[in-house]
Amino acid sequence: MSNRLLLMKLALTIPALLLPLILSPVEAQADSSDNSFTTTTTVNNPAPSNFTVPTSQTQQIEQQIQSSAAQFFGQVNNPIQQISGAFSKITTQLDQMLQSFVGSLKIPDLPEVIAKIMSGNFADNQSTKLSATLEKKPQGSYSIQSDLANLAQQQTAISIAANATLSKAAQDRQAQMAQMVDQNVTQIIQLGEESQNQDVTQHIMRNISQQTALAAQNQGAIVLQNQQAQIDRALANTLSAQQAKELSELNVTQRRQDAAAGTASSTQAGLFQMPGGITLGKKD
Amino acid sequence: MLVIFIAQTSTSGQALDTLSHAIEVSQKTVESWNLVWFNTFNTQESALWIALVKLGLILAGMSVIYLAVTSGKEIIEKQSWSELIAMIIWPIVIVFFLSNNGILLAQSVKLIHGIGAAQVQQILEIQLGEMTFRSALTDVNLTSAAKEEIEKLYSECQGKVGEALVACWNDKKETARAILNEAEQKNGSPLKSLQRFVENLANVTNVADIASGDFAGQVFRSTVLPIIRLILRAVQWAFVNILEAALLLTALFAPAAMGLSLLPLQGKPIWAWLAGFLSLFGIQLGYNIVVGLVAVVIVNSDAELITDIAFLFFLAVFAPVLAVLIARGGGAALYNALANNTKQLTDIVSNAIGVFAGKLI
Repeated sequence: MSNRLLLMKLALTIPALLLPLILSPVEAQADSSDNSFTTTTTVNNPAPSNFTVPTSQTQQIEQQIQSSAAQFFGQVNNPIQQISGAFSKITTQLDQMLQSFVGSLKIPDLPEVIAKIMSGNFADNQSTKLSATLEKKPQGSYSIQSDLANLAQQQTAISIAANATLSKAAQDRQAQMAQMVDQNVTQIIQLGEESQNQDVTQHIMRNISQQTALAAQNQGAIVLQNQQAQIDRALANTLSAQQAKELSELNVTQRRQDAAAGTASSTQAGLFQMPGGITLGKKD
Repeated sequence: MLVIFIAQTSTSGQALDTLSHAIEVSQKTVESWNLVWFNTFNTQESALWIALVKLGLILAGMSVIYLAVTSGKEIIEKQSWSELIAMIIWPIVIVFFLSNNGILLAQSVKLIHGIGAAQVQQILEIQLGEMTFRSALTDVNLTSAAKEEIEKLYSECQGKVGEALVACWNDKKETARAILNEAEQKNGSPLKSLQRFVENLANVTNVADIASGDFAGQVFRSTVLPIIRLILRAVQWAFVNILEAALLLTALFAPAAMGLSLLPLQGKPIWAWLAGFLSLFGIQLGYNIVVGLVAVVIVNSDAELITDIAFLFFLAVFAPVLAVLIARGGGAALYNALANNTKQLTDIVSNAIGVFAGKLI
């Protein structure tokens, strides 16, 4: 019985001993598990076992890449929190709603938000109530809802613009990204030069792998930039459409006001009357 | 093409429908005033008139008591028949007028109103050269109203340039002509100024005719212009209708004025009432004459389009002020003449009757 127990204990120690051995090559991988771009690099790596003993220079580069990537991707996730913060200044309810409609790209689902606002789900909103009171429309109105919907769009665009491009943090992030890409390019060139002076195929292969990893990281940055640009374009289009709509409304309103004034004046012209009961038109 | 045709048809139809409906409403307003006069002075059914006659009788009764207390003792002491008769003439007259729900007073008021209204209407039918005051006024006002419709029509082209402007402009020609035709139909005779205006607008796109397009520039307007016209027309309408209301209100005070006429005041209230009532006709008459004259002048000088706003100012502001000022002077003179002469007349009549009665008794 005791022998069996001993055997079982031994059997259990084997995975425990193997675990560090299995985990040790991970250090050579230039990535953390939550980073998709660098994970791809690892997958593409033809012989990971060759990197079990990296040079000090390579380690330094990898650490740098890891830290800068973590910093960059970590900050990309921040804007939505900041957007939510900006919205909370308007109303908690609107904030909650925008939060609840946040999609995979951390941007609120604006069509859904607007549909909810226009269907009157925000009638109890503090700002809506204040507007309704000031405009003496206690039952609420289409215009007030429309204004709130427009505000949601404008505020989203402003927040995204501020947090993705204009704010200090965004500028720092952009600068870091530029620096990172610059470093990557320099390192790719250095590795290329180093490979030219190398005779050992393994080293050349290692350099090529690192170059691929760095290039993939740069491509990742480009993809992120494109994604951000797509979001910005969509928001800019939304605001342009909003402007076009407002402009069209203004024109239509002005034309109708002019027509209304003309009609009122014509009606009054027809009401012309002289003392003694004389009206316009032929004498009967 | 069909859509354009439908749009044009509906635009012109709608534009003139507004005017036509308003004219109908205006005619109904006139009929309503006549009906109000008829109903108010219906001595058998009009509760308002009956109540006012009762008030007049109460005032008359109180006045009789006052007179009996103040003058009765003196007359008995003096035993003056003439003074006694002078005292009872007015009560008899008043009872005569206010009896049977004031039927005589109501008939008298209606008679005065009928004569006054007829005079005010007839003054507009006076022929002055080729036209009457009424035809000149209709000409000026219909030209103004039709011009406004045409302005509204062309205002759609106001923001356009290039080919779009020419296309928009040419698109309006037929509708403008339709407006002109309908306005002339309502007038019963050609509207020369409006014809020239419409023709100028139609020809202005031909380079050769641009030089003759002297009126074409007037078609574009600021949005405030219809509002100014609206205000002036509304003021004129209000003035004419407030005169009608003033006439009716004054007429309704006749029983009270009659009742108070017993009091030994400087002038009898009934004469003040009559002077006021006639003054209102004076205002109406004066207004019609002055407005009619200016309208004739405008039509004779073909200035309907140019004096568009100016004439409206005259109609709404200056002519009423002028008519009221003149009538006020005339009314005061009328009142003085009535009060003084009637007092003398009453004195003479009462003295004569008193002497005659004294001799008989």
